[in-house]
Amino acid sequence: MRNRKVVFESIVLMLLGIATIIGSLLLDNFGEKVLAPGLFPSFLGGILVFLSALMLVRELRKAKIDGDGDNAKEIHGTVTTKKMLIRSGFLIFATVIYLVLLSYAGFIIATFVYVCSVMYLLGERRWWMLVLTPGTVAFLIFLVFEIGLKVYLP
Amino acid sequence: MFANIFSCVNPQFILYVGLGSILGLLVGALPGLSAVTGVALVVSISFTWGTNQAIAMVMGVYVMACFAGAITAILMNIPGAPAAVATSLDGYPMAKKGQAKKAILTAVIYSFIGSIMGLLALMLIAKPMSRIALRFSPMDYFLLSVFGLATVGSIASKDFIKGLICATLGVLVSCVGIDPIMGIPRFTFGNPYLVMGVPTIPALIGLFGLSEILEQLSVDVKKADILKIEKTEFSLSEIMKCWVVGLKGSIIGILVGILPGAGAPVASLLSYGNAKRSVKNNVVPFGEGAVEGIAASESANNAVIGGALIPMLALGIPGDSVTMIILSVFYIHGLIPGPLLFTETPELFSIIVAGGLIGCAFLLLLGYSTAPILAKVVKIQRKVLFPVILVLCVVGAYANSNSLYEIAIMIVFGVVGYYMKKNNYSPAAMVLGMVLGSLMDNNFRRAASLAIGTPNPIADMFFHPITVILMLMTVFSLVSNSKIVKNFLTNLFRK
Repeated sequence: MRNRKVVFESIVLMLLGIATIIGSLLLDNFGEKVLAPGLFPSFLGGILVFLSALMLVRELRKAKIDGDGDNAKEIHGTVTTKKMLIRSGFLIFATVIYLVLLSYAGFIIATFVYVCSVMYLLGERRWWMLVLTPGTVAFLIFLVFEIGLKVYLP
Repeated sequence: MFANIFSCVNPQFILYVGLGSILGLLVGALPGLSAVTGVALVVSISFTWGTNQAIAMVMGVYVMACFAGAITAILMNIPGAPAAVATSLDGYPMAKKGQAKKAILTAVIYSFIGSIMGLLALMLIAKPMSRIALRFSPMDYFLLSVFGLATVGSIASKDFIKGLICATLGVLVSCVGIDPIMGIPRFTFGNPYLVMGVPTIPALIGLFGLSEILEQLSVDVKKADILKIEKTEFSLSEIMKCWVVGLKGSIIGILVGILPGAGAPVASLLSYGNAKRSVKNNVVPFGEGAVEGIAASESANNAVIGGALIPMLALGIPGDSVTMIILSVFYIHGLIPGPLLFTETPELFSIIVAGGLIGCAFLLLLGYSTAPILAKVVKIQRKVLFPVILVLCVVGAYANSNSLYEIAIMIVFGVVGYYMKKNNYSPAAMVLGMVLGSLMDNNFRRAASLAIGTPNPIADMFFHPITVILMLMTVFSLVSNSKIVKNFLTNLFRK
C-alpha cells in the first residue's frame, strides 16, 4: 500500500538534496578544488538525492505490488487526532511566547507564567498547585543555575 | 605502581574527589550542562589550590558527570550530552515500563566498570597505545566517522534508509556556519547567528526532550497521567549478566577515547551498534528497554575517560574537550604533560589515577544510593512533571552559551523531532550526523589535500592497513543492514 506522505517526503528530500548541490557549487572556493568549502556538502546533497530516490522507488514499488495505491491509508507513525495536534500546537506557541517573555520580564516571572499556563493546559485546576509549583520551579532553577553554578539566566 | 597511587590518597584527597563527584552529578544530570561545564567551573575556583586538590576535584567531576548524563536520558528522555543518546534508546523505554530504578542501576554499574577499565588501560598501556593513535591519518578519522554513521542501521532499526537519510541531514546541519578550513560561511543565508553553526546541545535537547513532551501530549492525559513505578523485583545478577557487553563496550570506549577528537558520543554509539549486532538472546529487544543497550552505551562512554587521558598524559594531546580543560589545569600548576611526564613527574600520573579510582567508588556509592530516589521522578504527575521538563529544556539550551537564539534552535528541532518520531525517522541518527559531521568534513578535505600532491593520490589515501580495516568494517556494517543481504543470509542458514 502506497503512503502518499512518504512519496511527498521523498520528493521534498530530493529537492533539498538538489538545492544543497547547487548551493555548494555556488560557494566561493578561491580557485581551490580539493579544499573547496562546497565539496563535502555537495557530496552530501548527492547522497541525499540517492537515498530519497531509493525511498521513493521503494514506496512506488509497494504500490505496484499491492495494486491499490489510490486507497492508501496511514501506515507509518501513530494516529493523531485534531485535539491532540491543537494541544501540541499550543505548547509550541506557549514556548515561543515564553522565549519572548524571557527577554522582557526576566527568568522568574516568565517561568512562573509559562509553567502555570502549561500546567493549566495539561488539566491542573487546583489554584494552590498552579501557584506553588511554578513558584518553586522558578526559584529552585534560579538558585541552582544562577547562584550555585554561576550560569546566568535571562 | 599501585603503591605510588595509594601513597597520594589521604582523607583530604578523598574529600575533594567526593565534592567533585557531587558537583559532577549535578552538572551531568542537568540538561545543557556537562562534564565540560563542571571541570571548567573547578578550574575557575581551583587555580590557587594545590595540584593534588585541584586534580582530585577535577577527576571526581569528570568520572561522575560522564555517568550522570544517563539520569535525565533514562528518566526524561533528555540526554544531558550527545554521549547519553544511546542510553536513552533503551533507558527511557525501561522507565516508561516502570523499570527506572533498574535502568539507573544498570547505568551506574556499567559506568563504573567502564571507568575502571579505562583507568586500568591508562595505567598499563598508556605509552604504546598513544603511539598507535598517532598513526591514524585524516582519512582514517574520516572513515571512523563514516563507520560511526553506518551504525545508524542499528539505531534506526525500523527503517534503514530513513536512518541513513537522518544521518545525512545531521551531517548537512553540521556544515552550516563558517567553513573551518577556508573560513567561508556556508548555508548561513545572511543570518549572523548561523555563522557560528547550529549548536548541537540545544538541537539535541529539542530533538529528544521537547519532541518527547509533544509526543506524550498525543496520549490521553487521564489515561497516562502517571508513569508506572517498578513493582517487579530484580536481582543484581540480572544486571550483571551482560558483563560481556560491558567489557566489549569498555574496550571500544578506550580505543575511541585514545583517538583525539572522536570522544564519548562515537564510543557509545559504536558500542551500542556492536551490542545490537552481537547479542542475540536478549529477553527484551533493543530499543524497547534492553539492559544490554544501557550496559553497552554506559560502559563505553565512561571508558572514554581513561582512553582520552592516554594521549593527553603521554603526548600532551587532549582526547576530548574535557581533557583540553584538564590540560589547562596542568599548565596553571606549572606541569607539562608529554613523554617526559612519566619520568620527571611520575607522582602526577598517580594523582590522576588515584582521583579517577576514588571517583569510581563515589560513582558507585552516590549512584547506588540515589537511584531509588531518582526513580521516583517518574511517579510525578505529567501535568506537573512536563512543565518542569520544558523549563529544564529551555534553561539547558540557554545555558549552552547564554543566548536566546539557542532556545529558538531548541524549539525548531523539537518540532522537527516530533515530526520525525511520528513518521519513523530517527532523531538519534540525526544527532549522530551532527556530532560526526565536522570531524568528517575536516578530515576528508585534509586527506584529499595531502594526497593530491603525491604521485599516486588514491594509494596514498586508501592503501594503509588502518584505512583498509576501517573501510571493510564500514562496508560490512552497511551491507549487513541491507534487507537483500539479511534475507539471503536467513535463507542460507535455514537451508
